[in-house]
Amino acid sequence: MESFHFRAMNTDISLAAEGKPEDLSQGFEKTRQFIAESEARFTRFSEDSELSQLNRAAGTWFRVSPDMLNVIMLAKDYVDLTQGLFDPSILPDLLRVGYDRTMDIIRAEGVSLPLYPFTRQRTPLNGLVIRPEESLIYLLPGASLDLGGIAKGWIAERAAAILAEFSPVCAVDAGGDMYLSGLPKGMNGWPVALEDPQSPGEALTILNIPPGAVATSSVAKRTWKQGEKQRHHLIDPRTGEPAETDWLSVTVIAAHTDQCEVFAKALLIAGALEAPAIAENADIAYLAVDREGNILGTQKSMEYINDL
Amino acid sequence: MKTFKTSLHILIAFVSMLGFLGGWATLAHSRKPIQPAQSQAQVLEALPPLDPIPSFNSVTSDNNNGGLNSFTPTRRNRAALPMFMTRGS
Repeated sequence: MESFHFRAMNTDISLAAEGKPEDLSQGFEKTRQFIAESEARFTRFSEDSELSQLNRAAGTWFRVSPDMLNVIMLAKDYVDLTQGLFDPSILPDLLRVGYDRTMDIIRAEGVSLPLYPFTRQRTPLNGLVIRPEESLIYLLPGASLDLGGIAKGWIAERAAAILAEFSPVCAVDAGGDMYLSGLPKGMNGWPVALEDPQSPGEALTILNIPPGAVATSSVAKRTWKQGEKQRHHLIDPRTGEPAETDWLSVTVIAAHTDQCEVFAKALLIAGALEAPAIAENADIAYLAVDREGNILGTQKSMEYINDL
Repeated sequence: MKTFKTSLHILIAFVSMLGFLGGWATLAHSRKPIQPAQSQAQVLEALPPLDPIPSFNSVTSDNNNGGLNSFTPTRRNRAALPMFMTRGS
């Protein structure tokens, strides 16, 4: 298995494929290029990105690219499927709690906005209107979207499709969000370590993932202090505040990477009381890690654990 | 008239006493209720065992697993890790 590593989307990207290095180098480069172009389109941290332009155009109709339209339409569907626990229109809340620059800058310099009280007044997706036949999007004045997670998942799966043109057995790992194509020689699944959310870089267990996707969401990693308050990046759309959840991370195994990314986030926000019903409704397999380091899941989900 | 009243009181008292004793004798000699074929011990044995009642803490504490299975992993040797690791970014 040949691999290629680089940094994009503020995270580590790994590409892997079976084949000869000389045959794969073009595939790796083409895939890297696609990821770089997509990042430039979907990032909210660049004034020039298509997403930033869309957000600035709130209050008017804005014509978007086919890729942007695709991701926004997917996002709209996921809002319903997750009963509103996934909602890309939480960007104003994310900015208010201090996540207004990349995590690398926040870690180095701290947050720029002070803590202040607020009253929440919004509707799911904050009045987003889509005219797909004309590629037009309308955001209410003051509304803005953060497509960070869902776009990362979507990009990983599209990137894997590009790499698969060079090798049918390949994988794209975008900061833990993965799309796995085909099966490695002699294997009945892809071995994937599940990170211990309390000890980054350490594995809690090894999963055996079939061709398809896996993604994890955690409240333990992207954290910062705003005044005296500890913050993390996972906003609960119901409160507009960082989610208060009894789990540290949720890993979802499903057909699509964007689906895994969205449901991992939603189930983590939902926590032990609400997540089982949401997952059952959407037929989603997931593994949660609680604060004691135990892995929780349904009988079916537990079958993905290689250690059992 | 007074003699008639006294006789009537005696008659009522006598008939009441007779009725009470007759009823007692009838019930005492009536057939007993039908006994179940199985003994009480056998009936108890046939009943399925009941789950213990969950403690209040287990249904209200933060550690409630919501009916999920739980697995406590042992930490993995870093050298034995596969190429990929899924993690929250």
